[in-house]
Amino acid sequence: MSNKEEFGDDDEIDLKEIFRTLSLYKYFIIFCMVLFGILAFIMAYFKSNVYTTHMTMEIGILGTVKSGNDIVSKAISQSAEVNPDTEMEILKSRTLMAEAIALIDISHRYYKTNNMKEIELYEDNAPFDVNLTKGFNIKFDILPYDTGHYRIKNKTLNINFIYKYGEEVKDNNFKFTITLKKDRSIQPKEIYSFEVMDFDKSVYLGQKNLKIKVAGTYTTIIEITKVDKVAERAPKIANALANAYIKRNIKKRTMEASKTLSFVDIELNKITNELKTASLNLENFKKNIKTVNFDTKSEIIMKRLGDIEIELSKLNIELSMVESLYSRIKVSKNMESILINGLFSNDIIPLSNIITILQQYRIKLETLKIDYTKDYPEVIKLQKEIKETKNILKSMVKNFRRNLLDRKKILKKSIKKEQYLIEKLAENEQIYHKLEQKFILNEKIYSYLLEKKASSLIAKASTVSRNRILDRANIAKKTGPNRTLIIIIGIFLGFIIGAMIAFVRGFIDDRIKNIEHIKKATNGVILGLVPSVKDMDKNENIGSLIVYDYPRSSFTESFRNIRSNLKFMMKSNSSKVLTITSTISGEGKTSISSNLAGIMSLTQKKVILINLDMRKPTLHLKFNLPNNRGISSVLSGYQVLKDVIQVTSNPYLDIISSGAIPPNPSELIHSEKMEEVIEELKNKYDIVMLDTPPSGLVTDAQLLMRISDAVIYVIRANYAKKEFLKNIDILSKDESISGFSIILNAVDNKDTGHGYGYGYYED
Amino acid sequence: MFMDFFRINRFPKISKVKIDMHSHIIPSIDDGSKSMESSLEILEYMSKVGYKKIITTPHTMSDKYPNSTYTILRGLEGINKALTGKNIDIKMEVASEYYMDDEFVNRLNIDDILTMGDDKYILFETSYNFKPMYFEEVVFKMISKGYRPILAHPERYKYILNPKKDFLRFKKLGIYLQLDINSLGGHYGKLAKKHAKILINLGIVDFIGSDVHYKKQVSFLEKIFTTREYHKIFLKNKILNDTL
Repeated sequence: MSNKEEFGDDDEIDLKEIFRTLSLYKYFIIFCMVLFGILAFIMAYFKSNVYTTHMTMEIGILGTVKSGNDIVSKAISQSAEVNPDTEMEILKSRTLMAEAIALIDISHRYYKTNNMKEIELYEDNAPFDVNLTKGFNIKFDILPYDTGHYRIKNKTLNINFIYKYGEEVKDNNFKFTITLKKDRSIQPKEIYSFEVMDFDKSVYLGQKNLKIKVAGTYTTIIEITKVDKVAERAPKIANALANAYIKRNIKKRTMEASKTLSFVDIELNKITNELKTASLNLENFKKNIKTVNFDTKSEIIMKRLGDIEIELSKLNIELSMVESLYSRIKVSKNMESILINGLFSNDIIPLSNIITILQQYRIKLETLKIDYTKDYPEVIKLQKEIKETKNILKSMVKNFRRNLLDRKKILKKSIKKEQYLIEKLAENEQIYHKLEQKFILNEKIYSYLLEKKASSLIAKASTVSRNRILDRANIAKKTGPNRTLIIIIGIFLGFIIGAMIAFVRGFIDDRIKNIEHIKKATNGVILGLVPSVKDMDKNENIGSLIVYDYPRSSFTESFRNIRSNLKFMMKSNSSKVLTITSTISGEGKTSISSNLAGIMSLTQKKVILINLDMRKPTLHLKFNLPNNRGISSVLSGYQVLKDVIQVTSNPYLDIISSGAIPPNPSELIHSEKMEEVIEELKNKYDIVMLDTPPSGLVTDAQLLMRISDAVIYVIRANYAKKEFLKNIDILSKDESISGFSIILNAVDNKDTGHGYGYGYYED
Repeated sequence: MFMDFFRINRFPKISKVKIDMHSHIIPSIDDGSKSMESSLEILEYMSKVGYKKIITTPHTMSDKYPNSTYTILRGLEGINKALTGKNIDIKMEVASEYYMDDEFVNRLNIDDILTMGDDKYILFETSYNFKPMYFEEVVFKMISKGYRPILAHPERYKYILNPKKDFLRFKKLGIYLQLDINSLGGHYGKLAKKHAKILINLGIVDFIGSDVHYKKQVSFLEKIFTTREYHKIFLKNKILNDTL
């Protein structure tokens, strides 16, 4: 065989394999494409038109009345910042849609069936009105009956009645009236349907195919897209949603203002009371302490306190002098020498007078003593006088001292009193300040709240939405379905699925399909490929060979090629015995051997073909010869060889058919007689061809292979299993078998990779 | 139509080579000319489009066209006899288009081969669908024996799967390549036309042949002569026809 170089790389082969699979299953793939195309077409036909509308809305515009930035106003006002994501979720919410649906009425749905296709109509386009009070979410069919009557149908409820227009239709499950619109009628053959949805279903319809997104990253513009089957309904729903949203926003903002107001009111009430109490307390306090001028009062007290203290110190001095006087007087010594200085208060004057008198008495006495004795009456009298005066003085000092002590006591008491007064004054001042502070604070809050109340009242009166519609939703445009695209996708899907199935089938297909499969599994020589013979097959059994009848066909050409290859392979001239076998029966062994024998005999070689597949006598049919005598008869000893050789139309080609089916075909092949027969034939013929039993079933073929000069192993494409190749590879490596080669039979054009057709050999 | 008109004005309906080396003009010897009359008509026409010498090459193919040196030479004799007295200015020679099979190998072994030119060129072909197993061995044998193998119409073999690679391999083996002129007109199918262009562009065409079997094919030739593609052969390749 020629070098492998000419068959390209492995990658190329894989790619070829893919195309081969695709082309092998091309009709299947086309079928899939057509099927899916048709399905897609049907789908596209029945798919209702959908209409899309857009609207944009700006959110979070700041209002004209701006609430303060202070903590209180932030505390009492709700979230001041607007988050587009939050607003989006609000717009998506079911509640808001329910509010929107409450604004409009989309509960009535009308349908018209035309060419088996149901189209939903806008309620204004329906020829009749429905007034339903019971039987929501049920679809009824309306068929015209005559000018005044109609037929009503529903399969699930199993109803089929005729009613007059305007007549009430009533049942346990439903109750409604159908009236024809003015100047409208239902034409015969027209089928209408209607359904009245309850609120929940209407809301569901409103939310269906609703898309809400922020128009840009840094904007607060929200885009609402609504897709609906009815062109007029889409903008209706979208606009309603926007209106409901704005309404809700206003409501929310009014509520905010009211909330502020009521809070302010409550606080104001509290503050008013507190303010009242505070001012009353202050007033009472002022009344109680009789002053408000703490500084002056404390000054007076301090001064007084100073005076008293001065007096007290004076008194103390006086008292100490009196004390010394008193102590001297107590002992009654030198009383005359007592000095009454200016330090004494005037109260002491009588005392000093007495002392003066006493001193004068003492002087008088002294003078008398000089002249008189003690018993002089004058002296006695004077002495008596002195004694009495001393006693007076004594009692006087005593009284004076007591007086002073009493005064001191009083002064001390006064000081204590003044000191208490000062303490008391400081306390009162603190209380006063506290009260005053409380009053001022309450007053401040009060005025703030008053102001707040005023602004809230203004805000409430002038609340506007912080959101605004930029573009209202207009009549929706038809945006789908893209029927062409659906069909194209369908066809494409068909191709993909078809191709996938083809690949899976190709993958799980364990049959040998092409020469590459053989090359992968074995290094055995490939003698040639034989194309499948579909239309030529008919002639096969009527006693002639394709190689005779169609000398210019690619089939014959392949045999010519095989003959040449074989000749080249069997170089020695002694090569004579050629065995043809296959793994199982039905691989075309007999057809190959007879045609090969035929083409060989055309080169003036004497060829004999023996059918040794005694279990399946078929060879004689190819040549239209009898089978009553054959090789089985010779091997079992009933006939002699020359009597079973049958001549064919070609003088160079003789055959020996298998003969009657023997009970022990294997034994016959393994007999010595077999070898004798072959030896005998080798002498008479140029080539002895043995058509053997399938080698996969019995060992007969292997024995024959070993006594042959060349072996042709026939593999039928799309029939033989890949697992057969293992055994074939073993045989090809068996050294006791000479000239082992393979023929791939019944190869399809597309599987050869050669692309030859029946194109007859030309020129 | 317009292009045809255009082409006709551009180049004359004349062959650029004087010698044709591939045709089937000997009557009733292969699938070529069926009778002597048609053979003479073909030759007259060939002469008209500018050929001076025809080396006709009947098939030799073991069972289908079992020709031999003898049958072919006898055929040449017949043609020459018929040509005498006719006013056809053309010189006839013979070789054969050998089909590569076991019989060809046998002939090669005994050197029973009709060659062309002094350089002993052998024109051979193979099966269209199957490349012979022994192809390279036989080519080696031819070259070793002093012949120069010319592969007839390489563009028409369907077993050529990688044209560029396979054609260059042929050249490497020492094979001369002969293009069928009519391949350029799509006469042998799209694949042949495509491969013919590849051969021309590779610059590996050595001979061009008419491969004429019947008269109509000469008129096809005439058309090709006027095309740009035909003239391109001579720009890109060294054509050896006139050395024969």
